[in-house]
Amino acid sequence: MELGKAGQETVVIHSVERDVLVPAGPDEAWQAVADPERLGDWLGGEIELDPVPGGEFHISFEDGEERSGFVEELDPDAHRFAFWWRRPDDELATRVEISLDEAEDGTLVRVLETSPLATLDLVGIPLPSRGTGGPTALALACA
Amino acid sequence: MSGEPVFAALSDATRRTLLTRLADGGPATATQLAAELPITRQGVVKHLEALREAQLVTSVREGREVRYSVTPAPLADAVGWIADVGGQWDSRLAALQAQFSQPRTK
Repeated sequence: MELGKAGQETVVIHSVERDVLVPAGPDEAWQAVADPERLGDWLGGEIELDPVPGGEFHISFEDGEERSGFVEELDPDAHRFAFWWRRPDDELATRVEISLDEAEDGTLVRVLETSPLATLDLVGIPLPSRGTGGPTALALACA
Repeated sequence: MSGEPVFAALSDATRRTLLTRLADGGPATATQLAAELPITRQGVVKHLEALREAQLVTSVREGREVRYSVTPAPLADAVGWIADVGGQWDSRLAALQAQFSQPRTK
């Protein structure tokens, strides 16, 4: 198996990034993230969470799928929510980060889901580009 | 904290450093890693063991040493994951936008 060059600072890990513009200011948009009922509404399930670092996170999707994990950070000042989740039969958890950016005509809500583990074998192997959904190189140390 | 070995393994900065080093630099023994990084050999062994329990690294005995490498996973899995997860977020963000296009009563 070919691995990346020695001394490289980063590894390629797979990730999906999406964003959407909502017609509201950052504080109003944040309510759709911080309020578990509103968050659950757009994530498509019922959420239970303990909003502290390390607190439990659980979502029951409408189709019966369950995922659980923990809260990494729920920061109302920075407007950033990071959590980890996995299905009961998944070996690996993925990390989801939701962050807000004020835009001219609303707020840009960004979502980044990364699977920092499963792709470590991909180091040095380019993946086909898929536009905004393509893989992103990130420092694992920051994951 | 959660009892999940993967969560626990990744929650530690030293273990992330070791994992990054193994991914970037290729397989290595604990002695080699201890020489390259500001961690004692004993510390390296302890952290590698946690990574191995979480199935993030595998180990092969070579004489008196054990060589560690990052666990491989099929390329196809990664591409499939990106397509699946991307599609899920497309639907979810459309639902988020819908929340704002139908203003909630105050």
